[in-house]
Amino acid sequence: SGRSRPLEFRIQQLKALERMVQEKEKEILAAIKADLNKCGHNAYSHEILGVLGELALTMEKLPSWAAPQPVKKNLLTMRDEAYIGYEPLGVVLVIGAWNYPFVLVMQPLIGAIAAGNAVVVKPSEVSENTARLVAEILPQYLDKDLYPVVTGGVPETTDLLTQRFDHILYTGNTAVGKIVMAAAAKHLTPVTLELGGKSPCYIDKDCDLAVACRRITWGKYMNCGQTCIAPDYILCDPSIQSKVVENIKATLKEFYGEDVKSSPDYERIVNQRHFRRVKSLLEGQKIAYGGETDEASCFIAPTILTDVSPESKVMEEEIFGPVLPIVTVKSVEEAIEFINLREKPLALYVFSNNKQLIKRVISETSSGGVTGNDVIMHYFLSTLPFGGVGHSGMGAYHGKHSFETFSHRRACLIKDLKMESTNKMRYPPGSQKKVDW
Amino acid sequence: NPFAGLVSHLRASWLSGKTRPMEYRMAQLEALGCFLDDKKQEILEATASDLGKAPFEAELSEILLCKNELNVTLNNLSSWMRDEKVDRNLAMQLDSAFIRKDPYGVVLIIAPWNYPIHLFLVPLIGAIAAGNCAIIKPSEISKNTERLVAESLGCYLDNDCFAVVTGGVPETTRLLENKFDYIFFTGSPLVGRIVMTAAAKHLTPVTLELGGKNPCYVSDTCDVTNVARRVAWGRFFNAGQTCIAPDYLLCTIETQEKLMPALREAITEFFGPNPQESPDFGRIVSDKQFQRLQALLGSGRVAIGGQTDEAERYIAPTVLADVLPSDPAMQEEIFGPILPIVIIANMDEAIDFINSRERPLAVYAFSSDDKVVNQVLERTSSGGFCGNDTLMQVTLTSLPFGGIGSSGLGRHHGKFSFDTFCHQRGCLKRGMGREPLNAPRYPPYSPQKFGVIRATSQVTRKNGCTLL
Repeated sequence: SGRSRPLEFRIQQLKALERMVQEKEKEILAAIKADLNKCGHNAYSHEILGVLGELALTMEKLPSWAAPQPVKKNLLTMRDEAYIGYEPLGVVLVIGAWNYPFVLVMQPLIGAIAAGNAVVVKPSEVSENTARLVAEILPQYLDKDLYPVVTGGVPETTDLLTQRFDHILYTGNTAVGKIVMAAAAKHLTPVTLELGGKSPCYIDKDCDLAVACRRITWGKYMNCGQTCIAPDYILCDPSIQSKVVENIKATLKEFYGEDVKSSPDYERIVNQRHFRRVKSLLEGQKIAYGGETDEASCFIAPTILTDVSPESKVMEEEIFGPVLPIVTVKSVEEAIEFINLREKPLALYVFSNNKQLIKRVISETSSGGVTGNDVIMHYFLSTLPFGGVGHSGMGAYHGKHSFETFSHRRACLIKDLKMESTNKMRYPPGSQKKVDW
Repeated sequence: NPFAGLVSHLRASWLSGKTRPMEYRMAQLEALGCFLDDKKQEILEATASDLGKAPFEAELSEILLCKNELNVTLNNLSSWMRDEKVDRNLAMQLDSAFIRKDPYGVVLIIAPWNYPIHLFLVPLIGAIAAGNCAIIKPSEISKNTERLVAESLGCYLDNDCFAVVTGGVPETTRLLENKFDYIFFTGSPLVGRIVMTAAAKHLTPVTLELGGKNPCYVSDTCDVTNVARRVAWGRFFNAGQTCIAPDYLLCTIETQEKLMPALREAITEFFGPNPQESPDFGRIVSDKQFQRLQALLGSGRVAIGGQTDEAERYIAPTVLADVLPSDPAMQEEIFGPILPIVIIANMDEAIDFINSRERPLAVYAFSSDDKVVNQVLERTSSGGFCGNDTLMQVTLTSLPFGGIGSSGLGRHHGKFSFDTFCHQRGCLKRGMGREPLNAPRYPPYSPQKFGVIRATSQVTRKNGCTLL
């Protein structure tokens, strides 16, 4: 019907979303707590703050993002109008994940609305409280016809994927990413896949270990390790391994106190299935710290493994839990080779005082994104495209990149019906003279 | 897997890093330029044998437009390759934030037969510029060009990093079993689906340049002479075998009456009284395509042309009048020198007609009234759009060339080619110092800490009201 196209409509919907987030803050935080045992502070800063920031940025910049972009013309088109028009794609499908259940549907939704599309929102059924809440409150604030929420599990999602969409943004794991892309291929639907992988974290001998380990501890154990861009494993020289362990231990005590289980700031594994999966990764490993588990509450203590073998199970799949393996390497060359032998990760981290070394690690590897001397933080800068490469995904979003992901860039050339003489050169009968000119 | 060895050889070259330095990429691109210069005559001859392509057309599309792309790339490569600095928020003012343009690795370029050099070479320019290795799979249907490319491209490009694979459907199917880091396909939507499905198995990103029926709306207020020339030129270029050719015309019955003599005159002006004798009019690429097109001649009534010669695979520049939406000519992309005219009552009906069908690669609208052109533009959706002319939107390297819906996915030309073949990697480099500034984000949490986070990271609306 064209209802979602005018800028005023899009901004009005975004404003409504903003009101929803502000008015329903309590309910949103409660749902996230029920799903992940995440405390208010964490939930707010991970999920709500980012959403509000993205909303404010998008509403402010939308007129400039959506404006036609004139392009450089050549001699032949000097008198014509040539520009790129940003147009909606149509109906977009957003499939969220359970680990940051609110922000991972909201951020894509913001971009899709801003680009003028209708959106079908499919939150993850694993984070069932948030899914239920989103299904309840979204229609209270947004246009019910243009932005429906679909709930359900694998059968419902499979069914949804047989439908034709104009773009699909999926956040989740590599295996399902393949299924989504194959389903999209049937309709030639473009996809953005935000997947995962094992994000390596290289710690150079030449660095402030205390600072590095504090930052790594923060990024690794937030959300109980269930973060797609968490530092998955550490690579470092054997000579600093025990110091790394000591520093992380000290930081953990600083963050969560002596009894982690009773800290209000430490989350839980989302469900029993993932609890058992993560727990099984500890088998046969040298546990330098942590290792305590409690199935009833899906509690796994922050754990560090040392002298981990590259062939072990914990080094096969993305951990997505509070278990940090340390694999020793004798040099930065060995670290780079190690990283390059494996699938391209979503994020790459390198800690060093040596700027040249950081530059080298970045330029000799490939990853979705990078943060040097910290972890996670590149996610929070919306001017950086957030996305994967290879098995960690394709496409990107955040900020303006969301708008571009969900828009079609249409090449437009408007000529004059007069001025026919300039066209005569190109018409047959052809001759060498014409070509040489 | 017959191609596994080749792919792993290229992958080893890729891992060695040799395609990454700018000097290497520039050298390979310059070599491509030499290929076009040295082999120009052979290219004109091969495309003439394959499609009866007029030397003028071949020189324009296979040489000139390719050289333009090469030059734009060579002129701008160093700035395109540079890390792109991005704006930072308050909390990151002291950090370095930029987007790196990383090559993907080993890419596959599959090209069709209608512009057999241009349609592999232009994407290849982007692939090389972005630092990748590439396998080129030219079309087996334009077999003389295929042979030329297979025999000579290797003399110009580094054989460790760039290879040509020949063959038909079975070979391409086996090739697609391998893992590539990017696949660039130009061809039909049907095969596009097959390529994307194969790519999904390896999570390989793709660009698909497909096709569809490009509508051409001609309003009642227009200069029919100029319209006729521009439409005829676009339709009959390369004997209609152009993905962005105006596929069918939409106009009122009155305009059809006025256009017909103008079209007849334009065709005669271009190709003479007997186009079969004109050196400037092409031929159909294969018997299969010829027979397919011949069957479409029964749609509507033949108002101009309609003659065919099977031995030469010649189909005269043809205009079909009073074609119905249900006619065979309106069921598939024509891809031949046949222009059906479908009668509509007015612009609104034309727009509805266009919108009820798959989104095409291009929409064309002709009118002396700007408002009409803009209405058609705004109320339709297509890969690209050209007002008051045909084909020209793809000659500007600054405009993205790509489809939407079943006409394609992704875009290229100029910088868009470079962007297509590289991974835009978001990078943030922080310092090890100033650790106290990070303190508010660490547990144990407190309302005070939270206040600091909120203050330093919130984005406020410019109209003065704060968010929280």
